[in-house]
Parts: sequence; C-alpha cells; structure tokens
Amino acid sequence: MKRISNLFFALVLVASTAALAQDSMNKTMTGRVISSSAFELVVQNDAGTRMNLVLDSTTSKPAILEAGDPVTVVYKSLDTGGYQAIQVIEGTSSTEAPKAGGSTTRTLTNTSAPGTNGQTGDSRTTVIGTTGGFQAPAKPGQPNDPNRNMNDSTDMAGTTATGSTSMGSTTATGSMGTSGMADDRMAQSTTGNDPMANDKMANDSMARNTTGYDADNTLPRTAGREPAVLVFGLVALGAAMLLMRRRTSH
Amino acid sequence: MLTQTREAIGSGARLFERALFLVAFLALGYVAWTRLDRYSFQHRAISRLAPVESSSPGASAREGVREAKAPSGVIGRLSIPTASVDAIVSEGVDDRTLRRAIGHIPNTALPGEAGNVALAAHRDTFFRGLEHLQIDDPIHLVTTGGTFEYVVEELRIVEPTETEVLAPGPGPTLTLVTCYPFDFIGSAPQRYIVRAREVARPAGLRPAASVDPDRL
Repeated sequence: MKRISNLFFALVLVASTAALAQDSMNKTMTGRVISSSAFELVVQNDAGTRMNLVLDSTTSKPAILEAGDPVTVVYKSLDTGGYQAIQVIEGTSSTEAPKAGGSTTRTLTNTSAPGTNGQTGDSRTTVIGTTGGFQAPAKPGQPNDPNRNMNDSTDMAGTTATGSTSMGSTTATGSMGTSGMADDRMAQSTTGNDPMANDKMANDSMARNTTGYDADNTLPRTAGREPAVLVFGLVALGAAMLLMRRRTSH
Repeated sequence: MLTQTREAIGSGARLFERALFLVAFLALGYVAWTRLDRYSFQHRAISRLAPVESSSPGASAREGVREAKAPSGVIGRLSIPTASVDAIVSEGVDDRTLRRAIGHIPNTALPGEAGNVALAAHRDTFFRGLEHLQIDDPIHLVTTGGTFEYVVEELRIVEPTETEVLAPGPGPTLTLVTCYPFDFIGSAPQRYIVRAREVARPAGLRPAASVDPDRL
C-alpha cells in the first residue's frame, strides 16, 4: 500500500510538473527547408505542416541552408507568439522534396478583391498546407490536381503570397483590395508615423464588415478550462495525500 | 509549551490537508461534471437529429437550413473520419456551447447559404484530431436538411486577431477554428485554421451563389 501511494505521488508530481513546464520546453521538428533568410527559417515536415522559425545570433545553424535541405530544428515557443530556432541541424529527414505547384498560394485574408504584393519581409501567419505553391503531400490515390490549382489562381487573381515569408507593398483596389500579407503587416504596425497604421484601422473595420463576427475582433477562444483544472486537482490531491501520509506516519 | 506548539502545527496541517482535499474534490468533480454534461448533451442531440436526418433529404433541405436557426441551437453533426471528429454543432461560441459541442460562429453563413460556414471548438475535446488532418481529407456536415460534403484545401496557423479567415470566399466554404498549439495547457497563443470547400450538397438544394464583395 505504501509503495502504491508513493508511486501515485511520483506519477502525479511528474505529470503535473511536465504539464506546467511545457511552455518552457524545447521541441524538435524534422523536415525540409522551404525558405531561409538571415532572420527566418521556414520548414515543412512530413505531414505537410509548415513552421516559421525566427533565427537570431544565438541560433546554431549551418552556414548554408538551401530550399529542399533536410533539417532537424530544435525550437521553443516565444511569449509573443511564434517560434525561435535554437539549433538547426542538417540532415535526418524522410520528407519528400516539396513540389512546386501553381504559382499562387491561396490566402484567406480579404480575398474578395484583387491586390498585389511582392517584396519579402516577415509575417506572423503560417500557411501549413495549401492547394497551390508548395503543397502538403497528397494522399495516395489523390494526386494534386493541376486544374484545381489553376482554378484557385483564377479565383484569387491578383492575390499572391508565398507562405508567410512574402509580404510587401500592397496596392489596394477598391474598398476591399488588400492582400493577406498586407494585413499581417498592418497587424504589426502599431506605433509611430507608419502610414500602415492608418491602413490598419481601416482594415480592422473592413475585417469586421467582411466576416460579420465581432467579438472584440478576435477569433473565438477555444481553450477549455478542463486540462488546467484537471492538473490543478491532481496536484491538490497529491499534496493532500502526502500531508496525510506524513501526519499518520508520525 | 512545546507540546502546545506541536498541537497547533498539527491542527493547522490537518486543516490545510482538508482544504487540499476539498480543492481536489471540487476540481476533479468539475472535470467529471463537464465530461458528463458534454456526453449527455451530445447523446441527446444526436438521438434528436437522427430521425430528421434520415427522413428529410432533398426537397426539405432549405427548411432544414432554416431550422438551423431554431432556438434549440443545434445546427447539425460534423464528421471528419480521418481526424476522428464526430460531434454535434450548436449555435454560438460562448463557454457553455463550446464545452458541450462544436460552436457555429455567429453571423457567419449556415450550411446551404452562400459564404463561409465557420465552426469553432476546443482543441482538447472535439477538435483534438484536427492536428492529423491533411489536404484533401473529406468533411461531412449532416444537417436536418441533408449532408454537405467538404474537402480540406488549406491548413493554417494564425494569430487570434486575424478574423479575416472567417471572410467568405468565392464559393461556399467551411472554416474550422481551434486553438494552437494542440498540446498547450491554458489559453493558447494562436489559432489553427482548416479551410474546406464545398463539393456536394443535398439534392434539391441549389448551389450557393457566389458572394458579391460589394454587398458585404
């Protein structure tokens, strides 16, 4: 009985500690390089999930990283959102080289009217699978349909983006004419005399009108309390049993 | 004196121990209750939806879509075989709704209407399986008016402020929203977006018209 209760305490403590410490833990991702710059690395794994990773002076990485190179990335979550690469190791990936599909990657942001963009920059949006551009691996028997890509390109005429690494000058056409990447940039420009800040205000109001959903202008909170309450309850139970055990042993 | 101090410490420890037991009981009880409540709601809603599903295909599809706005709030049943998702969709994204079902985001299109049907759910309950979803996976949305079929065409991670993902596209679409990362405990910093296009709708229901951006 004593052994069982000891084991239970150990399990509860390990589970709780692991759960609570997950934010600060480093994670690993294996995949192929989609694009690389001095400040950002985009990697796609076997499942077609793309991840944008911030690179800085502390990141350990090979001198040259080219698109298609297999890499293993050790990264951590940033408090501000997004991920920072801690170490980039070349090799060890079973991912097939990404296929260059249509020239247009479909974006979802205010796509009702044309817009253009072209320069490179940064963005907080991560496109992890699309029907054009670099594509997530198609399932067996479901090859990527070039006609569909063509249709997508037609639908989204004028709205071009390459994952989250492209962004830049945007020509608004009509009241709705912005591209997704421009929205991202607007979301980031909040201070100073940046002319984009004014555009952001206009764009926020446009997003409301477009989506019809307006709960503080954010997407719904979809984090349940259950996991946190469960961990809290288990910790409390473990501590209470530990106290009881100590009291009765004395 | 020493004995009295020891007794006082022992009494305090017992009190603290009981308080911890109470907290644990309340916390674990809350978790058990939410699971029971969810199971009960899903079970009742599915059994209520089942006879309507089988008896009203085709011509009544339009009525079915209108019924989605009924006070009961149940819109239909979302099924994604590849992600092991099978749950009732209810109107709203308030805490209670999302605790018991997948929520339909207010003011977005309903199944059968032109525009973007946007659904949200907790990543640790109904939408846990979305992390396994891939491009071209099928999604079924069974409503009282019939079954709408969708195919996944985009998976994205966005910031919570990027509400434009709910914007209607050129054709009828379905957007699923949940928190990201999936294994995060607490309020996750990002949102995982699945965008799917409609590929089939109940017989008797005309194709949804394209959305005219000027009318938005």
